[in-house]
Amino acid sequence: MITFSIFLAIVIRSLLFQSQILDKLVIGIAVNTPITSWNRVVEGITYIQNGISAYSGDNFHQTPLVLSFFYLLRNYNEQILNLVFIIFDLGISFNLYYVSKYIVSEMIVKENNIRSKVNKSSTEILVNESSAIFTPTLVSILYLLHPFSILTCIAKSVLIINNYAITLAILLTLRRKGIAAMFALAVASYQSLYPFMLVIPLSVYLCRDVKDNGSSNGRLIFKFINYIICFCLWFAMLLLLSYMLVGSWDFIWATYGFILSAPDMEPNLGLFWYFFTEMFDHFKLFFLFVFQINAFFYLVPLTFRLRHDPIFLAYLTCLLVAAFKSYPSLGDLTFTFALLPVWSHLLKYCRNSFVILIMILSSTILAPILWYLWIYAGSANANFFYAVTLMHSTAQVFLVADLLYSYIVREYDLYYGIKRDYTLAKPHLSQLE
Amino acid sequence: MISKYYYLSLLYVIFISLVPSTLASVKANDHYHEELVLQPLATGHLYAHFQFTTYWNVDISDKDAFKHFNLFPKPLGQILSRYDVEELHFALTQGLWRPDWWGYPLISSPPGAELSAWFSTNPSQSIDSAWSGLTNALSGLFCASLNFIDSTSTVSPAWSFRPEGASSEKNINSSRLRYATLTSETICTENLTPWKKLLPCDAKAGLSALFNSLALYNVFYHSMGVHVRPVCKTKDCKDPGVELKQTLSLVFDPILHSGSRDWNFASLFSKVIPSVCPMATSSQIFVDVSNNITYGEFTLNPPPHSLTPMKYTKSEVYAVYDLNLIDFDQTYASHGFNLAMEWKRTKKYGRGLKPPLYTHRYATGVGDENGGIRTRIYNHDNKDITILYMEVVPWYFRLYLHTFKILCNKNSTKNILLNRRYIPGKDRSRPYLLELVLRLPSKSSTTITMDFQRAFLKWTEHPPNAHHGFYISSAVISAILPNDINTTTPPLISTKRNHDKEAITRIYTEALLVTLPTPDFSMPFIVICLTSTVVAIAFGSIHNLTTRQYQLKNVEEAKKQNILSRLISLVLPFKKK
Repeated sequence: MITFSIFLAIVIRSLLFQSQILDKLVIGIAVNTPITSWNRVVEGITYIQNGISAYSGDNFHQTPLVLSFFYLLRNYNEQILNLVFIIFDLGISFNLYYVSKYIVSEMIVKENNIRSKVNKSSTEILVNESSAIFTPTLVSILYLLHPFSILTCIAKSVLIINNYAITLAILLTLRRKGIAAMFALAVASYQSLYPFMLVIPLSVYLCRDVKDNGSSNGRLIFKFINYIICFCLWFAMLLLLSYMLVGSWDFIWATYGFILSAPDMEPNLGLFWYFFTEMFDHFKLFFLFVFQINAFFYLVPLTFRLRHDPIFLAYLTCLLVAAFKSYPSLGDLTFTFALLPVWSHLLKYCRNSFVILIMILSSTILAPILWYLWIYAGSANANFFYAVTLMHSTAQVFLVADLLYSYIVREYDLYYGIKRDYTLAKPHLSQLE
Repeated sequence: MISKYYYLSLLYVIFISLVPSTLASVKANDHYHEELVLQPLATGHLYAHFQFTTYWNVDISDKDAFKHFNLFPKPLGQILSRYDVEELHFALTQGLWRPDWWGYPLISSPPGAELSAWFSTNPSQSIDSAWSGLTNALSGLFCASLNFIDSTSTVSPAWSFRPEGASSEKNINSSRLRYATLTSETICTENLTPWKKLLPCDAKAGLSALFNSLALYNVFYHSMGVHVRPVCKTKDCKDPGVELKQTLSLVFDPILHSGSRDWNFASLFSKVIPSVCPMATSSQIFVDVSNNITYGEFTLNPPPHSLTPMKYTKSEVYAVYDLNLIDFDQTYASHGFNLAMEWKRTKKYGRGLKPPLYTHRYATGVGDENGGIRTRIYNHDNKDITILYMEVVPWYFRLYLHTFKILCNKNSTKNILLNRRYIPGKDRSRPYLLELVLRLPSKSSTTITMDFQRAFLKWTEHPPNAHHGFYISSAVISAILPNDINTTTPPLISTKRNHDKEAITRIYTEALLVTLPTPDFSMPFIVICLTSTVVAIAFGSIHNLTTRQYQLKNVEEAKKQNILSRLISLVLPFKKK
């Protein structure tokens, strides 16, 4: 099954690389952003070849190490370059297979441990081996054959390196290789700033060793801070390496400054572009702060709530980053949607799953149509496309809220049992006491 | 009484003896020349070029000399002195000069407003602040909105422009140069009035008396210019000078107005010359009669005072009228001087000989996302021509250097692109500058291709007529061309180019008008509300789920609560039940 889907994935991607499908489907805006677009990477390489600093203009916003990686590949055939992207995609699916396998096996162990403590009637909602035997295969196939991942690969979006680094970081964390995991996470956050938030859930996971039951809080906090410092050191090393490559620090404003200040209003599937296009100048800085804090801040409450399940916390963080980052694209959703089957036991409690599915489907189909109508046909205007991006973002927000709700209700069900007499008491959310 | 008279006369004598010396100090420090060139073109148009030159024998960097003015206009002089300007070229043009129809003009300028200034080698302020002050001052002086020139349209080209006057440096430092073009600038009578006022005779006498605003703007091509440069009389520059050239180039279409190629001053300008300007040292009219037989046969009435050959090949002949020799008091007292050209027969209307270099530029692309710029340069000459090409593109058309291509329809063994200089633009601060050195093969057409991506502007950055589009200003092609074929050289005192074998020729391409995708301008509040709603949904849901616990609530107790306590428990949930 797996080998067949790998083969099919390679064939589909190779065939689509030769065609002009991205232009025909007009789906460029959904997969290209000013940071990750392949056109701009080629532009950066051309600047270097002509002796101009890649960061002197405002066209190129990738980090120096990524630029150097593609600069080394500049002389090769286009087919070799396509092969590099296919290999990255296969690498991500490989990572996702093992990530899902380890998450599911750990979940089975954990659920088995609490089998005695839960309500008698809710043993059937526990995760067990039979329900989860196909999950890794499913996750991997879902990534390989998902249209979002195929489109991101065909578009040669540089985000693929970012996705590979994130999935590798999660995989290494699950294998308890902390320092390597922090290195992979440093690479991911070096390229696009937002994954640095994952350092918290991954460090929490690394600190909570199952064998280490009786360690004191102080030791745990010490280990936690150790991992964070390890991440910071790797990040600093990468920055230093970039400084040596470029020769000056002006790449920092061109990359991280660009991500944080979002000056380019190029439309994408996110919330930032139209908001700041239509923003009054007086309030621009204030709302920029609000939006960026919004992107980073959800980690705090979620960490408190989900501190006993850091991998789920990491997953929700990835979903929130994909919804609220300054220049999102379909590439951010590829590995997140692929990992959904891991938490399929939560999908039973989801209230809005149908709505979310329809919203994602319709926004993905309508986005290129309305973009074409606005930009090429000139018959629609920007509001149509903006509405679709709103729908896309709302769907992702609903997904996060729904998953979190399902998680909480499932916990409640595990404790109180699934068969309840609701005549005497009704469940609802009330303030924490 | 006699003694009083004696003292008074002594005082008078002393006073009289002093006055000539003061007069002598301002006498002969500047002199003023007027010239008008009229040239019938092969297409039936008439090219009229006015040139008003003022020479002032002072050093342009001498601040004290720029406090007392005679013929040199004071407003302009004060601006030049205040902003440490060494050389200034300003042109306001309506229409595009077509080299493939008319040959080359005496002074070429792009459509819109063009301003370039060389600042002095040791300025008293930073060149950027001097440039900003200069644009604002000139905008006030000429009633043109030059104050829109800012860092997003200003460049410092390194190759295409050189100081036209005497420069103090051996190696020209191009960071002293600022160049900007505003293609959207329209020109009207409001610009003519202050320009006329700078002339010593101010449209009352001499050639400038022909200026009638209605007639001057009813033309095919209209270009008004002010050029200031330092000049030297000798090679070692012992007595420096400043030359101010005010030019007005017009292309009339007499056939459109009168149905025939005949013209006279009254039909063109609705005015005649009433008298000669007393401040002018020389005041001359040159009519190009070289093509008398080629285009047809014409006669000039009144007959010219002399005929002068003008190019070094002596192939071009100009008929010269000297206004100082004209008897304005008697012969032309009532009707003024009205020069007339009558055509006996016209051979044909055509486009004349193709000039050696002409160009065509156009934009390509479908939709408002991407596009391209193509410049086609034709070399009609028998030998290779080396040109300098300069293009300035605003920052919101993001040029992609990797799409740059040069194609030639003739395979040449030698390289066409000799050198390239590219400065990428920065958003909202700097435009893209592309300078090329090209060697064009003979009898070929070369196409320079570059693609761009259109940026998205904020809604406040769009002009009120957002759907009009944005201009990409004309590209400049500079070449040194031989001074004989089909080039109109000025037979003018100010430039002695008529005897040079070669001359610098500048050709400007068309300006491009490209639309940018516009947001909906009526939407700011709606967008803020809707986007904030999405963020609020996220915030609200996650806040609810992370700060509350899922627990059972007793149904009976809930029913027993009356509405008031239920509302209170909704609003103040921390109240324990």
